[in-house]
Amino acid sequence: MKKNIKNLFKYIFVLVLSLCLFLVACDGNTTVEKTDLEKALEATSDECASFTLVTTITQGDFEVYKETAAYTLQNGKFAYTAQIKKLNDLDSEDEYNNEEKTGTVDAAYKLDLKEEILADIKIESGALSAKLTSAGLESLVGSNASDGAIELKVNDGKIASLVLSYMLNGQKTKIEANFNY
Amino acid sequence: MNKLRIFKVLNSFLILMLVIAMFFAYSVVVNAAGIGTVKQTYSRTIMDKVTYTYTQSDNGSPQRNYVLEYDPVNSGVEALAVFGEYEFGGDTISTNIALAQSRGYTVIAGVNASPFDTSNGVTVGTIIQNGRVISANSGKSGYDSFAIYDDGHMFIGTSDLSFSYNVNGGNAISFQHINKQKKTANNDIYLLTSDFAEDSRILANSCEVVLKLTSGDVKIGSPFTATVESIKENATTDSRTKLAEGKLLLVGPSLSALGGLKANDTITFNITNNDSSHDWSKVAQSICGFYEILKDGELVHMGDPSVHPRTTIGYKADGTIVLWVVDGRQPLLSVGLTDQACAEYMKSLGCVAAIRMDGGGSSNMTIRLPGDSKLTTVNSPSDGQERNDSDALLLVLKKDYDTNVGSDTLLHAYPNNLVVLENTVVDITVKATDGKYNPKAVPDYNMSVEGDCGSIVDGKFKAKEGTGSGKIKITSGNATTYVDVSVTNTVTELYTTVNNIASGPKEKTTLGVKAYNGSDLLECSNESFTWTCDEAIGTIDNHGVFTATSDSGKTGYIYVSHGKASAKVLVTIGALPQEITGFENDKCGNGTGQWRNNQVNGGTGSCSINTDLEYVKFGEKSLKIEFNLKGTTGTVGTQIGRGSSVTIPGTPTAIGMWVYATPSAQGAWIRLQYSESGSSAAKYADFSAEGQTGELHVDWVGWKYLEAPLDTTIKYPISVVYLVRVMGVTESERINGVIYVDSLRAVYGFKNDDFNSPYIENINPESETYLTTQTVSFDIKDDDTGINKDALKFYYDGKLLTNVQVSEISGGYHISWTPSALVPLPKGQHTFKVRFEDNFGNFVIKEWTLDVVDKIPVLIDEASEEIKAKGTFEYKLYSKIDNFTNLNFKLEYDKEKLQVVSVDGCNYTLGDGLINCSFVNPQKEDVQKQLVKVTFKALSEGETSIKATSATYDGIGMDALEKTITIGEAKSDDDFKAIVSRIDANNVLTSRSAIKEAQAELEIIDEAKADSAALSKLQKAINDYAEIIAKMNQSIEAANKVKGGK
Repeated sequence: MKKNIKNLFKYIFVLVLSLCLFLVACDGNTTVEKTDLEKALEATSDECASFTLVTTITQGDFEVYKETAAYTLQNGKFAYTAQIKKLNDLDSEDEYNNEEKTGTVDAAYKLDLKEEILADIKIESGALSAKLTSAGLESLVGSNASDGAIELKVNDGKIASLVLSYMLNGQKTKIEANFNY
Repeated sequence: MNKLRIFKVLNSFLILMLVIAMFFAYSVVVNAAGIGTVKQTYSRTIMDKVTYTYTQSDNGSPQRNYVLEYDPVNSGVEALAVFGEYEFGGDTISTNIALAQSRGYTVIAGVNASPFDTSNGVTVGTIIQNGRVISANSGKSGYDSFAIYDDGHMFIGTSDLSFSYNVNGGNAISFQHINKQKKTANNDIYLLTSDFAEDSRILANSCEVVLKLTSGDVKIGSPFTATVESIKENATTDSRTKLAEGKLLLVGPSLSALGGLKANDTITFNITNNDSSHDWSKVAQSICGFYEILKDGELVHMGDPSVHPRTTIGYKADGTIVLWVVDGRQPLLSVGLTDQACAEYMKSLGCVAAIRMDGGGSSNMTIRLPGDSKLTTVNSPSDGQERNDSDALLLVLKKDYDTNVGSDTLLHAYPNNLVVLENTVVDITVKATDGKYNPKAVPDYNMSVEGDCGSIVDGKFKAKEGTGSGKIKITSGNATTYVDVSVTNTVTELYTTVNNIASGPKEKTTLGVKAYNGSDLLECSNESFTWTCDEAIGTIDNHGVFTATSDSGKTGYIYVSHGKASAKVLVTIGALPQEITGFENDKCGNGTGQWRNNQVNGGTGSCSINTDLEYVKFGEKSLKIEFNLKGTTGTVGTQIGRGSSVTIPGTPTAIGMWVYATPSAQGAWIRLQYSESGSSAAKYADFSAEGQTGELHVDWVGWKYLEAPLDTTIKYPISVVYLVRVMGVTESERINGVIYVDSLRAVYGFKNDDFNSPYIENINPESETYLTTQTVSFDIKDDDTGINKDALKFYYDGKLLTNVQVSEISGGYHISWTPSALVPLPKGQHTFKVRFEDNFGNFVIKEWTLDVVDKIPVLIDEASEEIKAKGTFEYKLYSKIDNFTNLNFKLEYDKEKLQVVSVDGCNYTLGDGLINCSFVNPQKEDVQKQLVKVTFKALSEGETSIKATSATYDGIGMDALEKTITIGEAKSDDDFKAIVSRIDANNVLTSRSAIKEAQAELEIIDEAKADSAALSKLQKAINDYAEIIAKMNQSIEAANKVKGGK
């Protein structure tokens, strides 16, 4: 929670870059225009007024960790409130530790992706919906990660939502971001 | 001689005539268009036959003008009068736009419209939306209107309407108002609709009759009917009638005055037009202005010679409608215009008629610029934000306009006209629409330069060195747009965006400039100029970034120049705030320099010097301000000053003060009134929480530090007229309440404040002590400026103690006091109070009551709740006090029933069924100290006891204790196995409770006899659970890394 929002968008960038790499590697026929994605990222960066970030970690069907964080742009900063539900060890009286965190992160973010987006990446204009199931996500979460998947939805030229999931040490992590403008 | 004299006289006369001629010639040039010399102008087509033009001019002061022209007949847009959800109350243009769009309109532009009653936001004149009368008074209106017929043709006129109704076809009864607020007891009759408000909003007792609209609508020239549904003869401000869609409400002084209405009566309404010049029954949209300033091409009614932001609407002979906003009240940006200047400019634009609308902070023009899907406020409202206004005039797409995005493309460059200083880099933004100006995605495009003006570098335009002109050409397929470029290397006038800077030591400040070449405002960047500063105040780089010296108290100038043009900025470094008064030596009254209250429009109040320390922030006094604004209307207030203005030395950037808000003050609006050097004109500033600007309404109880930022362009020194103004414009602000004010001060941009209070800890004893324990002590600390040791005041039963021991500790002082051995603290309750403060003056008062008792210290014992045979349990012994040197006791137990497993916490020896304990407490820590913990094993079922005997406390005998222990039946191994069997080894998570239960069970059975398979299963479950926790922590760490290290 302490890192600023720039890191979030770096994260978005890395995800998107991974997506692009996969698209290029796996489907040379996919034709997408660089500028739409670039503008979507910039528009998201510029115009995002609030977003939610839900992180869920499950073992089998059992939820061991859930963090629901809401970020709202206020006075030039993102104020956030996060509800965290975390499995406790046996010494604890309660099965879960429920915690609420609040604070602000700096919203002075502005990505310049022009040099970072690969020149030959193409994404269709208009509504964009892409899906990735690739080992390319390993670099994000360590070599033990597997079954990685990412879903990215772009509406009205801006990123509407982003979902990342993967398995690590037998536990499934799912990170869902929803952006509002 | 005579000839020479005649020649001289003639010569003088000719010179005089020449001067007069030149003066008039000059006047004609400057005032020809009302706005002065045009310095920069560019236009943009918003839609076909809709044009937006920005013009910067100078008529001795800067003026920024925003003009929107459209053809109401042949363009794709039409006017719509809007008034928010309700006519009562105000809404910003943005709110009105959002509301209109939610109702299916596509809004292209909007300007503010009617002047209004500031106490309720209701227009002072006539509003008509889609033919429906939204608000009007009967008779000839005191305000002119801009009205548009269904066919797009318009006129400026004065509504003159008659309102009447009859009951069941009887005699006509006149009424006076449609959707206006009844504010006083009077004999007028009001017709209210759901457009007005949520309820009748009456401020005086009335008779209210609810009607159901059965035919027609509230329109001019067409009768409409309704039936009586319900009657409330004695409606009050607490029982106003709700307004609803499809319903009407008649409000009058009495039922008889309303015509003796009864349920199911049929009422027929008539709204009659008496204006013979215009057919108001065909008016589709009408908004109200002040008065017509241009009529038949001639200037009329030049009522207001002062300059303000203005909104003006007019039309040309060909039917083109012109909407114009000029900014004002912003000295470096735009000052504003007079009525006459407005009329002259509208005439110069080709208008034959024009009306001045509401202006000042209301003036606002909002436009959907080509390529944008959202609208932008193009002007600079003088409040710094949009104002809540009564209503607005929007331009919306006509219902049949094709909004399907076509395949054709128009490119739009921002800016589209560039007058630029040499070597300046400009980022050109490109947007796109289809041919009907529906926004669409921007296609790939190429940017190139035509002519000798510069080049494209990394996608941006870089102006050449020297002078030149040309175009930037932007193309995509068949679509092309140009940016006209003129490059100059000459700056004739140079201005900084601020005139004064108050900086903290080592602080960095980025400056800005505006540069002109003659009348042209130049696009430029800081790097185009030469920046220097006086050595004493710091350094400045070629980007215009100033770094202040580390020395406080320095003043000097920053200089910026280009060629012969130059400007300078006064800089003050590290000047700390100066207190204007803390009210310690002040008085209230009418004497010289004494604080007094001044009324504003009927708002009353008073001020007095307060000595109640609860309402004092620093020192021992503060200023109490009572204000009584409830029940008033309009803009009211109470303002506190010293009878004459107070000159503030130096170059303050803000006035600060501490305000204690009481519960009664919630909603209060607090302002400052001051004037700059050489002017008596009032300037106002809002007190806001630190780091914020704009209006603040009290929403806290207690102390809060507020500051009112001063205009950054003022001339020093300033004079403060009213340091505190509690004002009310809306009903929620017009309240009765009390605030306290302390430490009024001038702020010079730099502060080293400590607003954190000191604190007290380790009060000992705090609630109860014994005759044998009389020293009272505590620690006082402050984490910022430290404790002011000399300001400490410690009271015992209201008497100030003088023999207090003060010793320094980390972060503050340890305070202790021991009464004289000859006069110890007597039995009973005693009050202790300490007042202490930090070195900034923040003080804390702590008060506590100490009960001095004469009983001897006691021991307290406890044992585990459930004790089973074969199990172990804990027995603990506490002392109720800590202030002893030695404590000894014996623990006796039945060795047939109990067996000692361990003894913790004291020195001990074991005897036969006996534990001899001795305890030394040199640290004297907890009030209730655990002395010893003995773990016993229960040997067999039954009842027994543990006795604490022979206890002595520093030689004083203590009461014995006996704890009865009931030992239950031993748990069987079967219970343990049964619980372990519930642990599912494949999914331990669902059995966390079973793991914990088994652990607890294991504690009360003989572990050696426990089933080994069950034991190993339990151990595995514990290990598996620990592994899940470890993996979860790894997963959380990995997820946080993905999310950016959060």
